[in-house]
Amino acid sequence: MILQSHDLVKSFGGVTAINHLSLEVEKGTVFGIIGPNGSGKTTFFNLVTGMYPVTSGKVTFNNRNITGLRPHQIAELGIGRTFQIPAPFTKMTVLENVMVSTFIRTSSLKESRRMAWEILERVRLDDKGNTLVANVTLEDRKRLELARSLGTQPSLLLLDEVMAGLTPSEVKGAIELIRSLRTGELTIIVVEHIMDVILSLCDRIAVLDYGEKIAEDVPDKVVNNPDVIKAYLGERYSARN
Amino acid sequence: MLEIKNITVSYGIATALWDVSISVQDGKIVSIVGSNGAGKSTTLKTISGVVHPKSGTITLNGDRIDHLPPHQIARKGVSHVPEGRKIFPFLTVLENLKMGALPVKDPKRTDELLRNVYELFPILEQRRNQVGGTLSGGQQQMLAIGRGLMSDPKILLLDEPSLGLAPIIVDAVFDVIIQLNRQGHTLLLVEQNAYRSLEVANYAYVLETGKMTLEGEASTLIDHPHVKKAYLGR
Repeated sequence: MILQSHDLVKSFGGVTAINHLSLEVEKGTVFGIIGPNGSGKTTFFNLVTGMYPVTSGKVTFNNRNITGLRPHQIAELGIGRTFQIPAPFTKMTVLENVMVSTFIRTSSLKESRRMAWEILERVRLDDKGNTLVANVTLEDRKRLELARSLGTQPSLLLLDEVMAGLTPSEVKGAIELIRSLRTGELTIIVVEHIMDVILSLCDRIAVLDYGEKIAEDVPDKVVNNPDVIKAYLGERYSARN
Repeated sequence: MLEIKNITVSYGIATALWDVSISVQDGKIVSIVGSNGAGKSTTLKTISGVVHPKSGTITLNGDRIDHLPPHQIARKGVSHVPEGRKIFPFLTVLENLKMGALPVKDPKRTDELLRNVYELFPILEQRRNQVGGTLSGGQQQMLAIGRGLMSDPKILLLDEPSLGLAPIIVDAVFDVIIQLNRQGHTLLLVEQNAYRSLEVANYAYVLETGKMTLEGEASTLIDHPHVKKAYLGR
């Protein structure tokens, strides 16, 4: 297991955002997390990456306890993430933005530039490398967010709604892109509401509701689980599909 | 009711809309479909006066509104529910709703509007004293729509109301859109969920890199080969 959470709890005052959550993610897989808005998906990412201190429980990465480490230490260990609201450096070029995140691995400008170009090629953004971020489209900004997270050379990548706001055709392209990142060396956890994305990418899916795991299984089983239909998908989703 | 004629809109040297015309008839749902960056949100912002067109006209029931500031356009009956909800996170649900009612001067009418919003969204009445920022994403979207309705609008502009919401909540949002229309509301809808928006709309326009390329009955466009390929991903 590359990532495990053991009995993880996070409370904000009286609100329990993550409630005794235990998850295991196998190396080289794509693991999906779905659940209603406010069910704790992003909070889970924030706990894994050390953005928030945990209330209780622990997180292990490659069997090492990473609970309580600082976000930059966790990034150094190999966990990368994207943010729902990307905050790129808009006055810098696309390439420079990716270079910033590679500096966690190298202090050489030349090496950083080489790594950044390679990542831009992987996410098919190399033709925009010298463009100012302020001038790229939303679709390309989403790709840049992905590229910046790859810049830290992660072995585990957490994707937080990277496709929200894309049109169905753009989503198709983004699915292909993420599929191409799947190399066996990279494990991916995907949080997404667009079910086509989840179903076409994930090996396993966990479903959160009020911070608790209400289901975990392979995609086909999850979408037919009555608890999941009730809490998340809705009767009409299951009727349509 | 709303007539947009040949508007061109620029941000500095970048032109976002070229010679765009849209007509929204009373009591209808009209949808604008298009890729990201095509100018859909700009169209709504131009109608509500957040940005002004360089040329062309916008009339609401025959009155020119394209030169007016946003608050005056709101008073004339255009209500804009922005993308990303943009509720006031530190105000309560009730305070958020009352902010929407600022253009309404008659307190009795405000009460009626509030009752209507609570009928549409019972959860907002239950949560009326909770601060907006602690609502779930779906509840915040309901609040944003509710706030938009509190100004007693003639036309409601909805920008990506289903963005980032769970499938079950997306269903609820589209139910609300249909219900509002049955109540007699006129809606102009921008959605990345093109299929669902064409399903509920009467008429639709396709916007591509700032230009209107296609228009027609929504039920026809949903089967149009270009729309299918470019926007429905089928």
